[in-house]
Amino acid sequence: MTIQECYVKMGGNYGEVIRRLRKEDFVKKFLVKFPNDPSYGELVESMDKGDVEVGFRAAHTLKGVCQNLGLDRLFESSNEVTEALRSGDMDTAETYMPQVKEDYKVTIDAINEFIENGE
Amino acid sequence: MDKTVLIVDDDEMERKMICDVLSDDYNIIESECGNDAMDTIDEMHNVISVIILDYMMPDGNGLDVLEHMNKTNDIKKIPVLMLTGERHNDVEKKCLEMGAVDYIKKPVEAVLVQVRTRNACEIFSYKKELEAKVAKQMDTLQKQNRLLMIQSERIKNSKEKMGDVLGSIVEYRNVETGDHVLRVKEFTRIMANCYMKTYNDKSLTKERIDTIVSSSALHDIGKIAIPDSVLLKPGRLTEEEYELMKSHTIRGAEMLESVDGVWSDDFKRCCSNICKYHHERYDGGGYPYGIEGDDIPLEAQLVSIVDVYDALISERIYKSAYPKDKSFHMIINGDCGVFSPKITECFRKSREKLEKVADTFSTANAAETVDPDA
Repeated sequence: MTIQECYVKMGGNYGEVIRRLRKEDFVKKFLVKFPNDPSYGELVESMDKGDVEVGFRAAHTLKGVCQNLGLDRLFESSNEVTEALRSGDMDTAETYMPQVKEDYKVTIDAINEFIENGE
Repeated sequence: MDKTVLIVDDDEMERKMICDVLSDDYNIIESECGNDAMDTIDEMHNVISVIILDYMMPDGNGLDVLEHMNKTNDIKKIPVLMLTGERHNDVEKKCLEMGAVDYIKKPVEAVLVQVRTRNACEIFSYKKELEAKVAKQMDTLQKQNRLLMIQSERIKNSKEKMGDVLGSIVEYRNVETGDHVLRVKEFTRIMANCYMKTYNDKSLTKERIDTIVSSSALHDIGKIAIPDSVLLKPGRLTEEEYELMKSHTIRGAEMLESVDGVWSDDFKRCCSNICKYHHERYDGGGYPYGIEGDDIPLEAQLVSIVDVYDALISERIYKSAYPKDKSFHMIINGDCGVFSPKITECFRKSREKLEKVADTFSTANAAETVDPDA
């Protein structure tokens, strides 16, 4: 599996990310760290607890990481949650969470596959 | 690598990305929150060349850091680049207003991070270089200025001494007037200070009073030109001799005016006025011109009354010394010609101080007497 194939699979934009970060090695180095990033776990946990403030920060970080790595699909849904929580609207944020969870799974699966079978 | 960048960002991945982008060219220090960054900046502000600062962080956000740097004035010494992804408010504007030099938009773009960091570094090191140059030049200027002040003080002192020496030449010829010049100077200072205070005369600045006092030493310089047969004659002068004696006023002014390049114009004019007019009287009854009222320059009016006073209390070739008490009343009563009401009033008010100086000078060291009001 090439990195381009990985990006296609997870709904990312490889062209955009390589334009910004210049080197494939650089993109790979950070992409493989994504599964260890704690922000997704923190977001899910604080949504369960109903903690708007911590949830907002976690969503904001997750969104930022996705943006930096060009993970567009997960960026879109986590951005919606971020904006809902920014205005303190837990209910709306909740409605976006299933999408976030699904997008996260797709993204993580693709990256894990790349880690195992990547070129 | 002589330059150090502080990266402040709570998002570890983002922080590491920026680290990687810059680590070939800079030493890197990392902070994961605003509070930690403030401590680091306080501690290492002499080492940090640029700060890359995230806006939204827990435990002290970007604005808190900017505010802190404004308080410690580090904002003027270290350029701050804001890292912003915010699209919903005037974050960028606010940060720039608080002293950030530029911002880097998220997501991270390697070239932009490198270029903006380098630019900020260069502008600030150029600024620092200029400031150091200006500070050095200021320092040199201040040193030169201090030297000039010392030299100008020396020149002033030696001019003052020169005036005293010239003034005493007359005394040496006119053997009976010991310390006359020094007493006249002190009396003049007392009168000038009293006049300035009593009439709130703004023209009598400290410098102006110093000039008048120094000039007063030369009031009788013209007597050098008077022959001994007249100057030292114990008996009454003939009309012709008296005319010759009176000419010491004009001759003194002529002498001073003929000296070029030694005294300032102010000093020369003041001296010349004192020489010429110190025998004029307020009612026009004096000599050499018989001018009256405030046509007589103030400096001459001040010296003229103290010159008379000193002549009265001293022994002269043609008279013995009068007691101070009697001398005072002779002047107040108009026995020695008319002085202006203002000058007379100052003389009355200064009586005690004048008498004290008279006592001091007749007994001991002149130079140590100082008017407490001066």
